[in-house]
Amino acid sequence: MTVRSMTRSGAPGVSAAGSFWRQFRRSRQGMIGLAILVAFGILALVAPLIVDPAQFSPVVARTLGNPQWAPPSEFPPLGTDHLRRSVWAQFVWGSRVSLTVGLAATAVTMVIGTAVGVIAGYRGGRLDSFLMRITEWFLVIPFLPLAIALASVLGRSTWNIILVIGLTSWPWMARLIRSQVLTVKQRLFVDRARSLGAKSGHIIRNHILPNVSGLILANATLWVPISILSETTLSFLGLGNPGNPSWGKTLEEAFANGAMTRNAWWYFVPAGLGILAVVLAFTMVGRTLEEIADPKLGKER
Amino acid sequence: MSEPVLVLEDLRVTYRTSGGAVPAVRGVSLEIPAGGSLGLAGESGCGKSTIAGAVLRLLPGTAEVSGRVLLAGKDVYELKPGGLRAVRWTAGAIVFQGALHALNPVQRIGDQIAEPMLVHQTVSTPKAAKTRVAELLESVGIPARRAAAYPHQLSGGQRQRVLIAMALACDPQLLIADEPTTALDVMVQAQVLELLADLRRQRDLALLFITHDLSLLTTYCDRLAIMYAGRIVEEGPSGDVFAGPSHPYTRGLAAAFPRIGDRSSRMAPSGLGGDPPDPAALPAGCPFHPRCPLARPECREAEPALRISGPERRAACILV
Repeated sequence: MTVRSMTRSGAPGVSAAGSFWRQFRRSRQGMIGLAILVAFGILALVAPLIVDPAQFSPVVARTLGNPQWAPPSEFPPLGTDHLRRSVWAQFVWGSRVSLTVGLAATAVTMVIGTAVGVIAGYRGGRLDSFLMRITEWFLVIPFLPLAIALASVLGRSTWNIILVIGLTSWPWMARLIRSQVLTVKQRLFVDRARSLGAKSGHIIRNHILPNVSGLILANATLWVPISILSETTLSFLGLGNPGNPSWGKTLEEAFANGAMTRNAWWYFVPAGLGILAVVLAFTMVGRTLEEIADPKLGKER
Repeated sequence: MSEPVLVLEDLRVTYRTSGGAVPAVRGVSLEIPAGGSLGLAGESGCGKSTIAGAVLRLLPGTAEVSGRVLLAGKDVYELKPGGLRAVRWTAGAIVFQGALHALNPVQRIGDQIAEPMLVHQTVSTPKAAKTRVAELLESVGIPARRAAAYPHQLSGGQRQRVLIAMALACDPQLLIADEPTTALDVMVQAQVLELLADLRRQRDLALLFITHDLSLLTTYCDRLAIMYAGRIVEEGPSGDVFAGPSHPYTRGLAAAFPRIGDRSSRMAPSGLGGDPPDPAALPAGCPFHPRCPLARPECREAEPALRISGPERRAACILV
């Protein structure tokens, strides 16, 4: 008997999740990225145990009796800044803020993008045209002016940064998902589901979404670093929440207070490396997921 | 006798395309009694798959349908969306061709077989659905434990069996099998067809069997209808039609299958010359006349209607 299998064949009885993990484990870049992410994830989770955010207030930092601009040799592990605050504490807390913003902004992007993309792609026709024109309208809004305008209207907070990133990045996601839905909806099993009397909601939930979820997952992972970089940009421009130091905020303060000219490298290098490591790790994991979801990509390497 | 499961009355389907209207089905009337079976045969593009789609109202929006389709006594094209959904799969179910593509690659086959039951709420609990799936799988000759498998883990024949199990899930009165065995090798094809025949006997299912393989139809169907260019050109009890075709087209189709042990047919394979006509530009008169070995001048003038050609037989040719 011939097995006409167009998909990757797995051993019988092996679950999809199991075979997915086996493929992921085979990728070195994926595993390195995952290890970095797990490390930073743990750091972000335990941050409230290591660091008391009250110490980021200049008044509290002064009462602690910390030295000012102390290099790591004088105030281990990472020295202090112009306001006598521990750079290590800011780094640890910053991992929490950067990851939260990165993941939350991506979640906003995914939810809006998937909803618009699936509805436009599945329904088609006039609704599709209408939704795509709205998407294009959002696409041409320049990111920074909108961010600055929203921040001045809504105030400077971490949630506003998440909102701004989400509002400006969902159109790309919507277009990507729509194109994928357009191909999935042509497949015979969707006709089959309709022929057995299924409603649209059922078809979307059971047949469309599971078949685009690989793409959504891979792109979500690739979208997190972009969100983190956006957060860094916005914080660096002074739009972040001053009481909630992110890595971008740290870079901004280091820049504004002349850490570079003072040669106080310990103030900006940890945050910079943190951003680099997390962004790189997410990209590595995302690429690996993308290759598993679309085997054609992997062979080109 | 009870009312027929399926009645088509002067069914016409026209596809609106950018190149103009293409008539795919041009006035087809047929009937399948409860528990009966009809084989629909013809070359590619003669409209046989369009009929399958028209019965459950699955044709794309570009298709214009006129005439009547009565499925279990209900006019499919008069039904409201809710009523249409209710009729789909409970009155008539389709066994799709191309089993790989008709199954969702990322869903377990057990869940896919359970899908029609959950959609139509014929089972009350997930556990009952599971039991029923196991029954259905066993009835098509697949061990019940394979319910947890994904489509790519099954062979082509097994996937086709899964589709048959799925078609039976809501105990339909009519099964529409649209080329259920294309892309299967001959041995598997025979097994799948035997399975279909067994299930028909056990469940008193009516069957509309669509294929281009005339020899299959004579074995598995009571009656045979031959389509050419969107119309039925010959109809009758399958054995009689295959053994003594009235229409020259049927004769050509039947002659295309070599008879085992017949030397002359082996040495001189006969079949039909030429290609099926383009549905958008049908020849005038009888659409078959350009390929017909017996064509006469009057064949170019008017398209012949179906007329009696024998006991329970009809054919659309001026020569009968």
